[in-house]
Amino acid sequence: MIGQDRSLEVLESVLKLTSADQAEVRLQRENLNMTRFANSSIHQNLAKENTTVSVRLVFGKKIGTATVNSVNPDDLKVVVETAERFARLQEDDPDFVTLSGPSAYICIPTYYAETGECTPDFRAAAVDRIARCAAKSSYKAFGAYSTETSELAVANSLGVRAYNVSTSAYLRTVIMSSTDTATGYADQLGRNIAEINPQAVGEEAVARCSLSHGARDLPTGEYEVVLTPYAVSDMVRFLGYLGFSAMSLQEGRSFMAGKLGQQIIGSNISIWDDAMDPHTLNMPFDIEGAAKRRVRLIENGIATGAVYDSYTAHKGGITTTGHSHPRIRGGMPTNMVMAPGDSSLEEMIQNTKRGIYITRFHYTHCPEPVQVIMTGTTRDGTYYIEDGEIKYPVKNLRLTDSVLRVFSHVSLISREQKLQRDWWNTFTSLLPALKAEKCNFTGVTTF
Amino acid sequence: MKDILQVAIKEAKRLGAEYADVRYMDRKSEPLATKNGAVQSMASIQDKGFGVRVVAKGGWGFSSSNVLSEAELKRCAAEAVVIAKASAKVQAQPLTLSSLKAVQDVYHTKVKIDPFDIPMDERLDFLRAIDKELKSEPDIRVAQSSLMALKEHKWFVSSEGSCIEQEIVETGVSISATAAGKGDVQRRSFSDYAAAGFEYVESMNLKDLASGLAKEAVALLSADTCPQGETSLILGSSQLALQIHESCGHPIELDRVYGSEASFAGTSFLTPDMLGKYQYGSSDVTIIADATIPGGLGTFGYDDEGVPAQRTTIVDKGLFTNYLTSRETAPTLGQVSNGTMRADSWSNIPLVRMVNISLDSGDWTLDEIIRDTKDGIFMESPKSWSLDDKRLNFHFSTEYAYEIKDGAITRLLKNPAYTDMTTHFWNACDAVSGKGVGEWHLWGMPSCAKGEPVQIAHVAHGAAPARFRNIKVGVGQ
Repeated sequence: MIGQDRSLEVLESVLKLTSADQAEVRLQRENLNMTRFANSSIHQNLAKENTTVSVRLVFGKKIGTATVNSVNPDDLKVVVETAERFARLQEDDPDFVTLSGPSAYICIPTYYAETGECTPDFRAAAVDRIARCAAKSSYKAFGAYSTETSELAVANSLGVRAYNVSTSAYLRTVIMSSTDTATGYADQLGRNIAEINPQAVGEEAVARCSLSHGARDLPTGEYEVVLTPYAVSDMVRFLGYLGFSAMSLQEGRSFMAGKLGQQIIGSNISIWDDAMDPHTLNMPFDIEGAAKRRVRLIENGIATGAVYDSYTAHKGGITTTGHSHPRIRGGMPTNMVMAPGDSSLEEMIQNTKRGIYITRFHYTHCPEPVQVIMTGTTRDGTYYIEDGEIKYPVKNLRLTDSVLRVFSHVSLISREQKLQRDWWNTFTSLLPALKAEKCNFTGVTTF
Repeated sequence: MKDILQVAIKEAKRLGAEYADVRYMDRKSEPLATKNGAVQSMASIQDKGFGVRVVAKGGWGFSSSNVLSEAELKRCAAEAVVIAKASAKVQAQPLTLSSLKAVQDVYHTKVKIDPFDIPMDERLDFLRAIDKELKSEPDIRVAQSSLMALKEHKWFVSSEGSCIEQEIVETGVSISATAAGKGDVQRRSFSDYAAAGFEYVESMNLKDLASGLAKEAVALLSADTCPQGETSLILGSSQLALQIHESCGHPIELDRVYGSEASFAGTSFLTPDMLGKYQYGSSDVTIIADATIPGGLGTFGYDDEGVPAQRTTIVDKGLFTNYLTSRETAPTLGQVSNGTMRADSWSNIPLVRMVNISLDSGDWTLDEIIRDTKDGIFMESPKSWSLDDKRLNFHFSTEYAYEIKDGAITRLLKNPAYTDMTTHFWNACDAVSGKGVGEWHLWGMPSCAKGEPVQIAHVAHGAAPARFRNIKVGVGQ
């Protein structure tokens, strides 16, 4: 680790190198360790370490940026000169007002030494446990176990000084049968590796795989659906990146544009962003050093708000919500939470007349953003439900439907929430399972 | 550079590694993007560092760092060996690598105009002029342009005696016009990239292209929606390039076939027992993997295992004949690597990646195909794509389509989409163009995602418009 003192020392040294009207410097250090396994053997195993310094310089309303992965003083001097040169080439950005000023953030526990100090042998032992779990059923295990330590330090000429170090651990597995196409999935994610239980992950995935033998064809059409949090994460992802950004709202691209205060999905669904929630991958401030604020996005089905960075906040005449994103301008949610209900997966199955249980989706995409049409196939545990019981596994299906329409027909929501990454790894959200009365399937696979 | 990198090789060997290689990469990029003539991003990104990859006790280990020093090279070599020994503890059998002759060589992209020699203000003026054309229609709300300039200098040194230096230069553009009106939003876009200098961008006639996109985006606002049904589908060159990428390029990655991506990107329907026997497509379908085509984004001198760039026939007149392989996977088929292992940075391990995967030209022209089609739809320009985890069931939507009746284009269609199974689709191909001038084009795609942590590869696909019979269209509107 670089640590707070050294990180801020580097940032202060960079701030002294420029005569810009305003200057912002960000240091990020990432240490990722990942063990991947296939056929119950470790086949990829890596450690990567990188430190980047990004500079944003403002001359009037002209802004220049540059990044280098070095803290060498000569490299830092060049990066400042480049950002200055780029700023001077630009025309005024009329919507730019100012960088963020200091905002008090609350220091919250985000670093866990057990995670930061995890060894390759520790991860290998966990993989071995899952492989043994799979072997009891003559299955093979595939997946990845990663730990990450991230440092973020931000300083600007308006007085922002922010530093955080955080850890995360993520274990996921697909269990496969060698005799047919049966598969099962499970994962766990958290800031503290002590909360990850490899045995439980293995057993959950094995149980799903064992229910998947002899999958049958199911005709396309409309069905009730029971969606685990794994599946819900891919649907919420589309709301997150298509609609909850202030920029998409201001530009009229969001499905919420012109509809704030209106009912857009079922009144039983509320979604907010809360990076201070300890059940999420919590984080006290964003990459501009602005304190994270809780933002209501959809409340009781009514479009309520969006997340802002300093640029869109000034344009909208409000204060940033602390959702600046390193690659996407205009604010992005980071810690979405869907309100829990009072049901369970078991009750959802019991209350299904003719439906499909979906463990997760694969490679979803959005052919039509205004209606949030989503298409993607199911995988790793898809079952037909009839008269309140799982009857048999079915071959994977292609869902093509509007997320807004599906979320307008949610009848049950689980009381349990799970910290969940979507398939694309765009967001990490805290989500319940859902039962929806209507969902359209347009295709089938052969496995 | 060679001498300092040898420090890691020697340290890894001293600590018991059976094999070691080191890659140092210094990558500079200057992404520039405009929106309605205003700068959206203008940045300089300098990224350099090294990765040490070892085999110890038959297991893989990899460690990387952005600090190039003897001490750090030794630390990473030691860490890689520790990681490899941990890998070996959960491994069915020690890995073996296909044989490889040691190479001392230098390779560089042939460039006429180094994109970094074009002053940034000139690049900005270039994009602003395109934005102006994209905004030439009153209903265009958003005009966006971006220009990529990338230079990658890398060294590869291995314990088997190879020492390879390569410099890859890439340039390309992406432009789009978004129209809004009549209660609808429609977008037309164009993007293309190459391993070449700024001369590639200059050759594109982008101003005319931009004004054409603006007109098409506006016209789509008034277009009819693509009807649903089963019909003859003609795909344009850029959409077919993506189709090749998704339904051929990914399933022929041999590491994926063996499950290395199972928990994320999935596996493949093309299992080894199908090699040399399986009718992947019709006799009109011949697909080649070629990392030696000048200008391709999948073109290089050597892959990141030090294996020379090669040309491999993947599908020969419809018959599935080969995979993309690595030194680890090729021996399972009794082969040596065909040189497709690439990493997207110094900090990631190389994976089997697509190179330039292309559909051979046919003996039709696009005009002849259209005239020969009684009832069909022409679709072009990718909008969305989704495939199952074995790459069989797919759904694509495109930016625009034309209806074809009795051998002639009759009307423009919006929101087109098609869905099918890979096996049916390629066997339903009955006409491939390419006879006409410029119909076959090698499209650069700098955004192929694979692996954990995810890596973004730069690949290319050549294609000319082709026809597919009895395809379900208009699904999921």
